Amino acid sequence: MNFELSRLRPIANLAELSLSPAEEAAFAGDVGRILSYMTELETVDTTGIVATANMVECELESKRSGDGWRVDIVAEGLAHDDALRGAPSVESEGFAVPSFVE
Amino acid sequence: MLDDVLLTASRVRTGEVKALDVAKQALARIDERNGELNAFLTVAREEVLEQARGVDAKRERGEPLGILAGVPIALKDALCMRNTRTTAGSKMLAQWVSPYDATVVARLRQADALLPGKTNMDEFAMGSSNENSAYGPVRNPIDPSRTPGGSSGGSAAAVASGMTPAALGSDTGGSIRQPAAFTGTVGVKPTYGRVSRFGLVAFASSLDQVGPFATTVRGAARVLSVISGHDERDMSSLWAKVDDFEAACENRVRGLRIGVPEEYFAKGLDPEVEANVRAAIRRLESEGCTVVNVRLPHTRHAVATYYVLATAEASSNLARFDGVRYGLRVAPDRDAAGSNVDKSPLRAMYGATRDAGFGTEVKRRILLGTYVLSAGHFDAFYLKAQKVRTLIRRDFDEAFAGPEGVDAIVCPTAPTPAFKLGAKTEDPLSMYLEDVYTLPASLAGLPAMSVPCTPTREGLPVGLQIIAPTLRETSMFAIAAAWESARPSASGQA
Repeated sequence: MNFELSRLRPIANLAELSLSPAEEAAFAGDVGRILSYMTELETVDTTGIVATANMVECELESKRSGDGWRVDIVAEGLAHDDALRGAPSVESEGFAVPSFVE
Repeated sequence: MLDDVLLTASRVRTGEVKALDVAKQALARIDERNGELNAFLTVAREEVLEQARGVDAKRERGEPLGILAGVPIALKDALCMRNTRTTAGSKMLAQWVSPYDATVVARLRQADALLPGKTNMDEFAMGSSNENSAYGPVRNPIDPSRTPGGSSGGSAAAVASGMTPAALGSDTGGSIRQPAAFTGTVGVKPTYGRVSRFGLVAFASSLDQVGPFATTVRGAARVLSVISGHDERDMSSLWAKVDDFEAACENRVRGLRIGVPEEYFAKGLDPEVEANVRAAIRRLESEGCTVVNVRLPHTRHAVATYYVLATAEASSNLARFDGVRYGLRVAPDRDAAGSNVDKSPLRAMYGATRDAGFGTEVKRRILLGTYVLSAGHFDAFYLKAQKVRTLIRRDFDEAFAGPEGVDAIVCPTAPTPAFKLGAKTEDPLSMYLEDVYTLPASLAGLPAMSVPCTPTREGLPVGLQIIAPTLRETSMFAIAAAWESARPSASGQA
């Protein structure tokens, strides 16, 4: 199954991937074939089966506090300067980005 | 000196060798082999020597030493190590220096381990051969024309080549166990939630687990005992008691019930791998285990289930790599024809950065994951796969349940021995099918490990996989240690 470019491009756009024409052609074949393989799941009868998002029933720290959430205590975190140190562009002690409104 | 975790720790503790000499030996071994194998991406030369001097000084002062004192442990480059480059095998993070330690790294430091550096891996842990690294493939120390497996191929190769007696990797769908099988090392994926994921670069959060490689079962048990335990910085971390995994290696296996699932001995399994794994099972039977046939009928859906769920989670996790907070930023080429033309400068920067920073396999999985999560396809793919995941777990629950249930399941780790580099790179689906025996335990959140079986006649390693019930790593280690002692090659028998 080849995945049509008209279907691939909106997906690439959603994923914020700017693909070259050569990449688009290659992925159209691969993605189509893999999705086609995945459709074998249709053959499994899942009537009445509950979906599992995460396998282990986590015993959250919150259970100790009894209200469903972790106890809200201020603790040491990543220092501001450390958080900014790996950023490609920094201005006014924050992450700088290109303009996004006209 | 670098043969075994326990031996190295014992010699450093007694003063028979200095930690500094161990560190120098590890660095010498890395210098000797890394050019060929490409196992390490970053060697923390000065830092590891400094750590070793610290361990020696601590001993001289008469202070108690940690249980990994003086033991060099390599770290997969998906684990953050303070003030050290962490690339996750990607150009996206080529120059990124982590400002903090992953919890597992902090725990290794507390146990006085030595950390000589960061190992090569498939980009963002997506791969089964280590050929998806932006920094070139790792070669298998047993046969350098072959893959060491993936995605933790660098950690496996570091241990198999004697650079370090242990290493940490991460296992999402088999990324510790399959490389362990391909390189003749021991590799452990703990129960999901047993080990903190804080500071592990995320691939698929409901599946990712950190675990050890080691030259011996007991060595892996000791490393696991150090890195296990609750961490408030990981919400999926369990409040489970950390068992004495090392002591469990001494437990008798007589009377244990071992399940053998017919679905793991199906078409596609290499005949020699099958013969050697079946021989190991017979050997365990002669050690007093009871062998029981079990059924895991939904195993055949594991590959499709995994690649829906893992790609969906990856597409979400990797959205953070957008050129804003860390890593690569690429300015878009506004003159070039392409999909950037009509976007805002911000979105054009996202696109240009992600196109330049991600490799082919990562883009392929992001596209697949975005598709299965998109409106109109969510129910048919993502929700369906979550339901099949429930059925896969239920198969295991039934095999382990009740008085007739088994204590562990034993099967091959991978369907073939290590394959040649380049053999599967043109066909992503055939690469995905390589994970067929490791994916079910990952989807079920179960502890599983690979321990070296008898090699093939050609001398290629074969992995024996042991899968245990949730939080029952002790059964797994007992069986693995029993097999390690009984293995014909270990006892000199034919």
